[in-house]
Amino acid sequence: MPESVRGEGAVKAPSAAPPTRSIKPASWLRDTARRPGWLGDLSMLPALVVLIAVLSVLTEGVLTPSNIINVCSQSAVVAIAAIGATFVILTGGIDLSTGSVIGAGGVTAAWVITSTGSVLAGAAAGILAGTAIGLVVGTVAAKLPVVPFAVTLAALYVVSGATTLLSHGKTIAPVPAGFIEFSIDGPGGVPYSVWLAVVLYAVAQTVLTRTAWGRRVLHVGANVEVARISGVHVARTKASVYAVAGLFSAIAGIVLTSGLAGASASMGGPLLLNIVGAVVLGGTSLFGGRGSLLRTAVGVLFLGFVSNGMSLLGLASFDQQIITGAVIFIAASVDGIGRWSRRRS
Amino acid sequence: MRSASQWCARALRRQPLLPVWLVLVLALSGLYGEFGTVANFRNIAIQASPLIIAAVGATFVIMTAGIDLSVGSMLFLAAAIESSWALASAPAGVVFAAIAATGLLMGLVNGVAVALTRVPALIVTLASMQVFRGAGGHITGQQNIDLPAHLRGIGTSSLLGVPAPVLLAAATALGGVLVFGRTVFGRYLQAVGSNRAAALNAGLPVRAVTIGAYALAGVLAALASLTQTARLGAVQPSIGDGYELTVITAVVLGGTSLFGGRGSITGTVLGALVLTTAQTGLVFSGASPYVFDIVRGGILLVAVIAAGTRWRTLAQALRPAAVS
Repeated sequence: MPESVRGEGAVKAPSAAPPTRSIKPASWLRDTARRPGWLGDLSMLPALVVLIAVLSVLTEGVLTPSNIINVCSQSAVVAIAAIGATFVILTGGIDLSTGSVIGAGGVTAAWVITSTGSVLAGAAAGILAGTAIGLVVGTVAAKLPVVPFAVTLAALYVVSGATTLLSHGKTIAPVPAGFIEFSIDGPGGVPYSVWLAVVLYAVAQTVLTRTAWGRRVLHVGANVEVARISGVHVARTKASVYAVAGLFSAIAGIVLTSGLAGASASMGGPLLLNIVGAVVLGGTSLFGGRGSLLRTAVGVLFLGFVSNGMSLLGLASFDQQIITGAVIFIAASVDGIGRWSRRRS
Repeated sequence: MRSASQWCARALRRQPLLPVWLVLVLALSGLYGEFGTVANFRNIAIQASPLIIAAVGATFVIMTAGIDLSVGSMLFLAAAIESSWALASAPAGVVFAAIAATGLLMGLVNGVAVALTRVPALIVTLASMQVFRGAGGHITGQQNIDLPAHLRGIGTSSLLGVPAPVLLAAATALGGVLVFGRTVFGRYLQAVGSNRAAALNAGLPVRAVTIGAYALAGVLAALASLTQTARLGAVQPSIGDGYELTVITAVVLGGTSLFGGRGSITGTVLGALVLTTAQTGLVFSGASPYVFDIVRGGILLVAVIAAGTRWRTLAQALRPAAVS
């Protein structure tokens, strides 16, 4: 949206009174064409800085290196799953089945790991299972005339029910010590899981901004009709996005399995709100077409520090639930208000 | 005689779920001898009651093209309030009023957030689902709390042989049918759901109608909670977990469109009966409770696809006429 040509000044420039003196950012910051895209993606960064500042005043030890690593490693699972959720939300869809695909991917991986002893084979099996589920969900949601959220709500319970049945409702363990180490230690004292999340974000951001598929995702989300007319295979793009979500959910499930030293069908369920919330908090629009992985990364860190701060303050888990829900709703309504005022002007 | 058969044919067209339910009941009765007993049907009716009450409320919300994922958490928070008032040994009337007020408040929170912000109902209720469950957990401290006898009365008493929960559900359904078909609010609901922009242009109070639908759903969720806890005799932390799927499935199965504007309370009641019958059948078959997760998810999927497909054939049938 080129804001500069939409202001009142642009319309009645010749007769307008000289603009009142106020502090304005440099012209290249106001001009969306010249402003680097990543700058807008970091719009939640000031809020994150304020949050960290407030938490530092309220409690001790927020900004110690060990606590920061702690926040990052505890956010890794949500971070990885949120990559897939970002792609889905960018097309204007929603995936409620993320949590149960995390469970399904993790349980599949843990089952293969415990029976063959090979972590690589387990990871491959888990990722394959998650992607396959995502592909089925996406194909149904995109090719049939249905409401996507209803399909993913149905998938949420079908997948978690099937996973619970196949795992007999038990936790699949034990997994090798080296696999558990993945979420505990790594180069520079930062766990491998965090490094993995960082690499995946870099890859996903590049795919979104530098590949034809990424452009198609944004295009479909911005305006389905225009995308269809300009030759984008809308149904295929939508289906692929859910498959990608299944892929990242499965990776998140494998990382969670390593963190919990075992996998159970229900382990991913409570993460759904945090995953969707991180995407929304970062500023990716729920209506599609506007957003990026950089935004989601900031959103994940924001939620990570919120829950870290609440734990440091000693809040009970149910009080944390209340605050998380409220924070996410407020973030979503800010996006809604922004959209509303742009439409009004 | 002829008018009777015509009436049957019309009823069948309007409620295609009725024969499905009858076949399900007959099949299960044939499979399991114990299934076809009066005691079991009575049991199914009692079990279906909270679902019918909550699903009637959800029908109003879905009619506006909205959605309420927080229904299970509303059930839990209402139950939590009930347990806290019960501990203070308040008379039943006061407790019931407090629960209804809680339901109204929760519904208003959802409705105001949906109507006055541009946040999709899905996200509003996903967030409020978390907030309500957290608040309920805060009140109960995640403990099982047994209810005193005077609050369990609804679950055990009966009038002329009909259990009280069933009476409540029947009254809710009847009220729903009347509100839906015989009131201005009902007409407005349909108008807002089928075309929001047109309703706005026609000067209808779109926001008030939306808020009203969610508020009604909140009150009915609280009523459902009352029936549910009275039957269980206790408030458990797991009350209403995953309930949103059952409720939405019952509504969609009953023929209410998720796109809004088209729906039926009778259909919702039948949908709730089909789901409860299927659940009872699974219990009789000795299947793991998780099978019901798969079954109701599958039923929702089939119902949604069936509803969508009907729309598509309708659109295809109408297209040549529009061109000529």
